[in-house]
Amino acid sequence: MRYAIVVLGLLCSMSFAQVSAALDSIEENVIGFAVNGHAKGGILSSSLSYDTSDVSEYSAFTDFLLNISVRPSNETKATFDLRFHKDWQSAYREGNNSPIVRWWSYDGNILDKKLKFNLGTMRLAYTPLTIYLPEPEFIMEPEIFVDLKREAMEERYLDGTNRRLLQGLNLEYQMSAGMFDKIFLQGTVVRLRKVADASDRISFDFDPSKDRFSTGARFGIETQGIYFGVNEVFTFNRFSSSFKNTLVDTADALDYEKNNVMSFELSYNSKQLLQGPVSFGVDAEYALSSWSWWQHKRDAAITESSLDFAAIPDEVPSVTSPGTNKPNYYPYYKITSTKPRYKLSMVEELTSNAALLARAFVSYDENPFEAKFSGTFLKTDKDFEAELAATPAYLPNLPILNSDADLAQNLEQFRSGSLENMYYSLYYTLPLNAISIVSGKQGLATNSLCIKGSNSSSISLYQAACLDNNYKLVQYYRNAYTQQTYTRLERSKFSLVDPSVNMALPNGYATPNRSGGDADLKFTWNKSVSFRGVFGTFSAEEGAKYTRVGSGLEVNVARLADLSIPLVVTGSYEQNKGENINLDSLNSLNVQTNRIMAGFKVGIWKGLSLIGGFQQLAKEFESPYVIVKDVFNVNKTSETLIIGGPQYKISERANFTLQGASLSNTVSYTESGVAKDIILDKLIMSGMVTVGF
Amino acid sequence: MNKKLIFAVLASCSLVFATEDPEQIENRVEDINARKGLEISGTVRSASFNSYFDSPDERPNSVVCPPGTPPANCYQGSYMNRMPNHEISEFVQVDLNFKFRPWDIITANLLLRLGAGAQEYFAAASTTVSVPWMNIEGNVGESFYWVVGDFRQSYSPLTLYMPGIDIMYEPTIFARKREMAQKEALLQDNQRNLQGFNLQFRPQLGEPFGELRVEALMARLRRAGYLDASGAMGNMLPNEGIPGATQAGRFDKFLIGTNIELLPLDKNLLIGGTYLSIFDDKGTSKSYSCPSCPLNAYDKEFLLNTLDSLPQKTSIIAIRAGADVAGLLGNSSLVANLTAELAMSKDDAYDLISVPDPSDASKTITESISRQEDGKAILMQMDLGYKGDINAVLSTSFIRNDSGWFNNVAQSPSFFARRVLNSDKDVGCRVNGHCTNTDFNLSKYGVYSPLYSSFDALYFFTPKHSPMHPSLTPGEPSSNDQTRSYNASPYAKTSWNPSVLTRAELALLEELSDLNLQMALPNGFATSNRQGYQEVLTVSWNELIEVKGLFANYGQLNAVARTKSAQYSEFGGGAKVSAFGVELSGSYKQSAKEQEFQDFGKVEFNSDFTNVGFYWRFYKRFGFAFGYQKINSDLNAEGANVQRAQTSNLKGGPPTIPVTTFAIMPVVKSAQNQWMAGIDYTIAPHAWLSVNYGVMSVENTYDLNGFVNDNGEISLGTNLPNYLVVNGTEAGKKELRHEFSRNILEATINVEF
Repeated sequence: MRYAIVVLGLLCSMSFAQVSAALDSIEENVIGFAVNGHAKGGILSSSLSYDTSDVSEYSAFTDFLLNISVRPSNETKATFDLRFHKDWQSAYREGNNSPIVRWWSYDGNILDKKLKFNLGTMRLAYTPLTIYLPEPEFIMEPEIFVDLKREAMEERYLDGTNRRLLQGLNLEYQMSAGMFDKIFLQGTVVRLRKVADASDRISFDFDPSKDRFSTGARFGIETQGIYFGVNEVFTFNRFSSSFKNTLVDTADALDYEKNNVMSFELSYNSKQLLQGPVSFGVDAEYALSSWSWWQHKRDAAITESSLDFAAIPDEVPSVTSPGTNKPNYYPYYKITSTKPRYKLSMVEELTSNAALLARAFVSYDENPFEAKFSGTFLKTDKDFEAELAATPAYLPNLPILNSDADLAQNLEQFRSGSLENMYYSLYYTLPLNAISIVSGKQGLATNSLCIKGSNSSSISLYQAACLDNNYKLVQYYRNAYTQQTYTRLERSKFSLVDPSVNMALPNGYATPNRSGGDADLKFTWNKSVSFRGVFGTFSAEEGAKYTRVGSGLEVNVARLADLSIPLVVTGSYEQNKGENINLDSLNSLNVQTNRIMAGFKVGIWKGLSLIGGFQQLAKEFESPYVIVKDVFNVNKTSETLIIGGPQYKISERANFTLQGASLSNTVSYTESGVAKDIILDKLIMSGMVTVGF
Repeated sequence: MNKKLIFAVLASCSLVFATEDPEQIENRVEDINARKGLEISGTVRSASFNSYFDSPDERPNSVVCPPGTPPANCYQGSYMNRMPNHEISEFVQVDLNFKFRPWDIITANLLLRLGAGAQEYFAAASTTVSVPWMNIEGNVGESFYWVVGDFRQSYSPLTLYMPGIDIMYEPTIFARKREMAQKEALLQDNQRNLQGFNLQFRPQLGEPFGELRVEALMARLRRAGYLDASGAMGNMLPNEGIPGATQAGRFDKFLIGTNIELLPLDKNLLIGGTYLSIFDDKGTSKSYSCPSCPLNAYDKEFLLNTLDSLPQKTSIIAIRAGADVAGLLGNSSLVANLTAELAMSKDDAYDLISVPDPSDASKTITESISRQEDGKAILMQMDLGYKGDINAVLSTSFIRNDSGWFNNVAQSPSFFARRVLNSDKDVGCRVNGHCTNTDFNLSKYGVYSPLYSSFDALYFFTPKHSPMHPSLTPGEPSSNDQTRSYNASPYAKTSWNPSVLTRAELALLEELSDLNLQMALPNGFATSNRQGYQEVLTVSWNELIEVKGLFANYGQLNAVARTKSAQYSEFGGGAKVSAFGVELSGSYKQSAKEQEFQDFGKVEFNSDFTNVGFYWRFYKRFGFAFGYQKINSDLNAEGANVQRAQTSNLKGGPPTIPVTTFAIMPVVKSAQNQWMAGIDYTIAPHAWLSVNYGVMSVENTYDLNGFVNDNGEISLGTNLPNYLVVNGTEAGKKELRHEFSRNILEATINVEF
């Protein structure tokens, strides 16, 4: 530590960036073992009232995330995260509540810092049309919402940098030579999904039927601020990993998809050559994609001979031990000819689909003004496919709070609303047992546990009085963010994801069938008054049209008035409009969403501050959103979240937060011609202590 | 200090960073600095218990014929009970206690428990790693302390407390094993383990006002959730389907508590009060269904969902006062202190009753009726004595607790008698004729199981027990032996646990409690429906000799229907002599219970508990230990009839199996002995390595009345071991003797670092 103090003393004359770099170097040169992490404990209660019902739910827990790093030399580092979670529950002696390891990586910068490598878990992005993670993006989101969203994303190991969470190997070699400031080569191999090991163990984020891999390569050169790059990403299923024996019928099929994207980048940034307050830049990316769809089907006509397990004694070769009368204890193999044959064929192929993304900016930075104006032009073909750039981080698809509430089936998808999915997440332990286990494709209804025993009418679930202990705590999420990638076929199954978030470009810049552009102006004065205005319009081939318009303002009053305590107010408005969106056979939507946000943070005394926010989101379906034709249509949903409370800074990165929130979701719908409203009111209270170390 | 220096250096740089973000730099420095703030302590706990079961009644070489079996099918020279006689329990547990950032202001604690079963070393793919303890704690100034997560707390015996087991002059060789078992369950003294937050404000107000304690806590005692009804953990009686059998919660159960105490006059006086509220949040109600399960309606309700399905709402108010008279008088030779506490409880209780089904008169359904129970409890404790060359202190406790008094956070004991060693062998005869069916294991009945011993329940534990498969045949397990998706997991065998029990669970626990250990006050001083006193006289001289005498007399305050009040008495004494590295101790206690039943007559139960201990320390750290314990108990014939009636709710299996009769055959006379001797190497009071050998033997005499026919054939469907049933008895015999013993070779390591 004395070393650190001396170094810090020397750093006095350096700039912030230099200090930061020096701290990096201190950290990097600490060889050995380090433990960091954070602990969190508290309670979150959510009380839902709807119709005449009230349901409450408590999440009360202590949670530890330990980040353990081992640095055998100052060039490489092995890191893993251990996550411990304990729901408060001393009703009984708990079974095994194991920690889980979410992150395992070995990273380094070797060969005189020319070759970077990542082995294991990594966050990675190439370009917006190749490997990229589209994240929800709002105008001037108040701090309280930013914090809630960040926490929910952190649960999924997403860090808000548009980098995708992947596992595999990544190598980056970078050098400079002659006129080129930078020449680099990058290669990546990742496995996106692992085939399930047994047909009844389908539970978490892996594919039941086959492996999926992705390989990527990049090459780039840069000189005088001009950059040229080539990117290539190939994503595929490994046919031989297939679980094709799950096909029991000739109509069943296992799908495979291959996707290839190659893109070329050309960009210029004036910063390197031009000094002064004004800078500008342009970059363009042109991508070509191909996609093919393959299927394994069971061929009824043909069977093939195979070696199989048998247990009939009279066919036993001479493996029976002499003198025993229990030959069936000895397994053996015999030839059988009843195995079906499976055939593989290509169903569809889409080649040479293009996408063009061009972006330009001009910025001005001279105290006290900072301004940046940027524009984007995008044109993507209808069948453009870039899987690793198209799956968004936010996929609201499950109830977060009060999941026990028993709502009408057609209302299920509106029960939690956008704001709940965006800002709340739960992480909890559950005993894994006969009822809670996810058992294969059949789920609970035909759970083998329930029909255990030869006689299905017999009551054999709990056969004996002996002490079975089918009980183990497992950890689950309720979280709308995902680190998964979804294939084109899978994404085509999502109907209405959430029109209030990135309506025009739900799959980021890799959204197929779009042409249009947007403009974005950011302006800051004296680092205390910030303004942002956004306008965008995109259209699709079939006539759909999307417009986005919005603006926001943030005023740091404390800095303006030179106050010693923090005082910041923020507000914004955003409208998204979609016309003639051909969603599915039932719906050609005209939808408009309006979002109003406001927030503040005010310091009260020492580390105590008050932080609050308001957000209102309305989705209006001009032509109703049809869920069941002529029976159930949704006309409008309106959500309001009012949240606030004190926050006390106990010490550096240790906080105590109390928050109360009122979340209201009104769904206006027509049921068999009768207009109805359902109001789902949630009162959410939380008290949390967090400490980072 | 380092941290302050760094910030001093940074502060001097503040002009340079005025326009940058110093917070980021602070964070980075914190990161680097925090790595210094890591403390690791812990415990290594390892034991190898080798238990060789033997019973002269199990006759491997004789011909045995189950009742009604044709002679041709009798068993020739085979064991009736094929489960192994030898159980090896070997395990290593390492508790690593991490303290992150141990500064004055905030600390995060994590207890990581690494476990390995020694004999599974090569076979098991995984060993257990679990987190039994996590919290964040800190303080503000010197008077305010807070903790969030796991914590322990006790206020007073009537409010928040964990009643335990007290054994007078327990031999060291056994006391150490009990210490290991209790610490494995994370129990500490009489404090209750809770999860939630706890705030303590304890300012020192100077001599006249002493100390003020303002404390508040909130804990979740139970979470709405589903547990397998067959699970050994989480159920008091797996698969039994009777009230209290499962500890699954239908609601989130919370405890909110506040405690205010003032200790004026230099802490020689105490006045204080406590308010506790224990309640289920009805809004969290959870029930489970399995639409496709081939279960009848009864089982869907009672196996999938807890029977304790009605919400608790209890509030407790207590006031207490105390004085250290000797302290007030400034007399250091006198011992004179007195505390008195009055507590009142108010509880919305429910009774489950069976009523005719309105839709089908031939069936019955269960209905609940609610009532409010109010209760009062009084506890007065006084110590009077003299301190000098000879110390003599008389401790008096007096209680008067109503039958309506209820406070489950003070009444739930840490001990619930369970079967540990050779539990696979606890096999009985199922009523429909299966004496060889080894899955009819009765070990879950604890005190009533065939091979129960009080010493086994008190001193042995296994954190991870993988039950022996009953069929013991080669090949793959058949479809019913395990589920398709997961194997039956190991479970922990121990009698020690920190649970807060519900009313129904406490009632079941009392039914299944070991009267030799928990007779008069099974729920500590907070036991309801008790009035009486206890006197303990302790005389000691120069730490060489200590002598203790005990006398206690308690009675039920209100008689239960069709009975007169039960009377309990205890008397005993003991002594300890320590000199020249040798410690010799011994004690004797007699406990008795008497109760008049209108239908059965006068019930008498007597129990004697004798302890003899010897410990010799040699070569500084080596020790030789010897211990002997004996429990003799007897129950009269009337008592046997009452026990049969009171245990008639037990099912002998899941209610789904049509058991027409299952009955507990009462033990009317029992002699339990245990001796053990061994060598140890002791590093510190709580750190030792030891190797011991001993024998635990039990001789039970069962009351056969009504369980035997004219041919001497014993009824099936009881808690007798199967070999005893098939042996039969002589016609007309009224009693049946069963002897068994365990030879135990053990090695233990307990090191706290």
